[in-house]
Amino acid sequence: MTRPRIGLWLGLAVLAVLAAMAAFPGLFTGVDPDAANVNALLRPPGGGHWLGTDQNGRDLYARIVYGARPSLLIGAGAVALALVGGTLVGVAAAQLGRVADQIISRLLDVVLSVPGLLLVFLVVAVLGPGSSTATIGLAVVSLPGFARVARAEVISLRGRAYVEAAYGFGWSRPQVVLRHVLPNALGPVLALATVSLGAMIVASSSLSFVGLGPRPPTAEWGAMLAGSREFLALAWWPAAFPGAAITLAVLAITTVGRHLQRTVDGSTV
Amino acid sequence: MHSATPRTRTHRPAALAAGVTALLTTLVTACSAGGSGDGATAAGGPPRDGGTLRLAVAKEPECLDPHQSPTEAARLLSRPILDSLVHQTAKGAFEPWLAKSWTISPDGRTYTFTLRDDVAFTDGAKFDAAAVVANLNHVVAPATKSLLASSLISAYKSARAVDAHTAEVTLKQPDSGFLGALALPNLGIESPATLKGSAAALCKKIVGTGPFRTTGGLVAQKGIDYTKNPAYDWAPKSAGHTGPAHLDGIKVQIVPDNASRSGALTSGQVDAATGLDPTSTKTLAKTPGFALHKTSFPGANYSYWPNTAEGPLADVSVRKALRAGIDWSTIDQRVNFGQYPSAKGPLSTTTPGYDGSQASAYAYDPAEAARLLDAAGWTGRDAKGYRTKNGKRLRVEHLWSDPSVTNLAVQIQAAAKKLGVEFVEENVDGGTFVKRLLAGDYDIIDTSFSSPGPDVLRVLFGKENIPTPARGVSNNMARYDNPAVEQLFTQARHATDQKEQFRLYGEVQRHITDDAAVLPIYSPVSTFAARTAVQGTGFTADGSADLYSIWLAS
Repeated sequence: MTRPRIGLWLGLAVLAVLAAMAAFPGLFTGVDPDAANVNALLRPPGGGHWLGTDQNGRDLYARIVYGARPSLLIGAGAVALALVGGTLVGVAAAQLGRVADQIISRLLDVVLSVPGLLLVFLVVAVLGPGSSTATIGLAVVSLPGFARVARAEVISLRGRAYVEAAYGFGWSRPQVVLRHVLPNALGPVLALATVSLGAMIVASSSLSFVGLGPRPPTAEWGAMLAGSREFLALAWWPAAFPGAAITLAVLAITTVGRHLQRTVDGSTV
Repeated sequence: MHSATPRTRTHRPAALAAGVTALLTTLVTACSAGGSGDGATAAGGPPRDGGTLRLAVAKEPECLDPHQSPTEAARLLSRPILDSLVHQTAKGAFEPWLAKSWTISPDGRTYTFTLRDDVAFTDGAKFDAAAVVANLNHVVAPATKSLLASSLISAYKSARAVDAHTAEVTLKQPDSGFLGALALPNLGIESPATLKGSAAALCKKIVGTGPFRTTGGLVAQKGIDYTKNPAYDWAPKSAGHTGPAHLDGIKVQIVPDNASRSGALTSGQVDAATGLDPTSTKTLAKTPGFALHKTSFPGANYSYWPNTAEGPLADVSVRKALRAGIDWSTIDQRVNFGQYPSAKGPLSTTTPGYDGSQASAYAYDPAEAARLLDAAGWTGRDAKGYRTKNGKRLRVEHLWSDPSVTNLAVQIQAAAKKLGVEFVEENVDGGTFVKRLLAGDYDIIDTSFSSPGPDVLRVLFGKENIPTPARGVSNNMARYDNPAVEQLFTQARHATDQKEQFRLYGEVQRHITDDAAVLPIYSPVSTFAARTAVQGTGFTADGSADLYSIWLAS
């Protein structure tokens, strides 16, 4: 029992640090992340630059710190949007009758049948690259997953005794859904959210990597990876550190998410 | 009337950028001059016949037919298939190729070519005067929609076959650049039978008299395969050898990504690669078993072109301040890892007709820059440290649509900030770029332009080449209009003596320098990297890799 505990605490600690970086980057470094220096291109780690400098002579540590917000916010925002939207759609499918359920479910099938990243590219191509469009694109892609889980949960709760009882007391359907069905259906949906957060952060980094994320010179981990790729033969650090930041963030989120999921599963059994 | 201006390249951004580069490269003289660089190995023994060269190239032409396409890629990939009437050597001299000899009338308007009578196209057709007439007419035919070739021979009026092996070409006005244009792959001679086919078909496959032929043609996103033409026996004298090519064939793969392309070379997936970026050339030069060959492109340097007609850079003092106040050469050396020579004038130093007397005007002098800006009235400072005049910030919009310039632009922006000038990077899509280019809605545009001689100055600074909506995309992006220079251009076009022509163009370069009409940065370099067993490498006059003489030692 102690091992998962250590993992959980480590994960939480990493998340806390990342959250602090995203919220108050100025507390971690006084260096301007966008200040180019032609005389300090691709400096190795050490000296005045803890993690070295990138191909524009910008301080990598400062860029990773300032990159936390855009890098994490897109994934988190997408999950939040998908969570809210997906739950609404799922509940609607489960509650609005067979015809509505059929229509909504088939529409979700259509979205799910298209490879996720391809669909995001489509959304971003139509709306133009940027942080908000990347967030919307990722939300659209992951919404069906949330909707399906929410719908299944609501349907499974429909026949439960306490739900029937609520109707028996003369409650209206919206009241029952809001007071009894939704709160109980939300557990698995939230667990899904924490688990997909890691995947979303990787996906948002992928988008930035191919130039569909925040516009330069915004420091963003995926974009930093992409920018450094050309110089890999000369310098490993501009790729390694942003890559490590993404990996660490995703590991921490996944560890914490899995723990939450197990807790939720345990409580619903 | 004018010179080599590709006017119609408006429709696609890629085509625009490509066209610009193309033009540059095209006019090129440079050719083989540059020769091989660091890695060239002495050929061990006599050339060995046989083998297939696997070559990775960066860009695929949107169309293989160089009569239509303005791109460097089309020139590289069509050259093995197509011969030209005349051949231009590295030094800029012309020698016979498909034409055995030629005469020029005293008024400079009639060229009479005596053609070889032993040449055949790889489809079996005989090469004759009718083929020459058909090719020139194909280039200028509106249906061809030529994006470069037709503007290279804009002086062309008509051609006729005097007899089977004599072709006579009449020009509208004398044009000292006509032979140079004919020597480029863009005026390469294609089989007349194929010219009757559709433009789209020619974009896939062309047939010529060259040392190689293609059966499958250009396959989008893959490349092109060549097999040798066993009958080939009419290489130009300076080619270094005669008869058929040493190679049995060439397999060209399109590999757009820089790192993947040099990786394909070092991992042995290909024998050679072209168009390498500074990181790759720097790394490859030190990798045992590989040789790096390079040559500077002749023509205009990679430069920032200031809008001299409108906006803050219409003031010559501000342009001079940017020229003196930004350490262009240090930025080039650092960002390009010392792989590209820094520029010292509108033309690269390898361009015939380059005037070196003005080089000192391009030195870094921040104190002079500050003085110039003060004198021009930009004396105020705002909260962010930028200079202001009447409360307005000194703000320069740099318009671009090519992501590969980002790292350079970042440093220039930082250097300008120190000077108190705000550079706004406007990275737009190709359509927007063209629209704003035509409208003159920019302060700076960046590009290079390779060309084999100082005639390129007319393309880049001639009043008739200022891009406008009516005219379409052309290359005077500085929107430079100087009556004194216009007069020099007219004189140069009519000059029959090359020395006099160079003197006049030297004069033009001094005017351009005095007016700070261009902010030159570096001279682009053409690269060809290969495993050391690849021998006989070189460059053609336009700076493309010469594939005819290559042989494989193993």
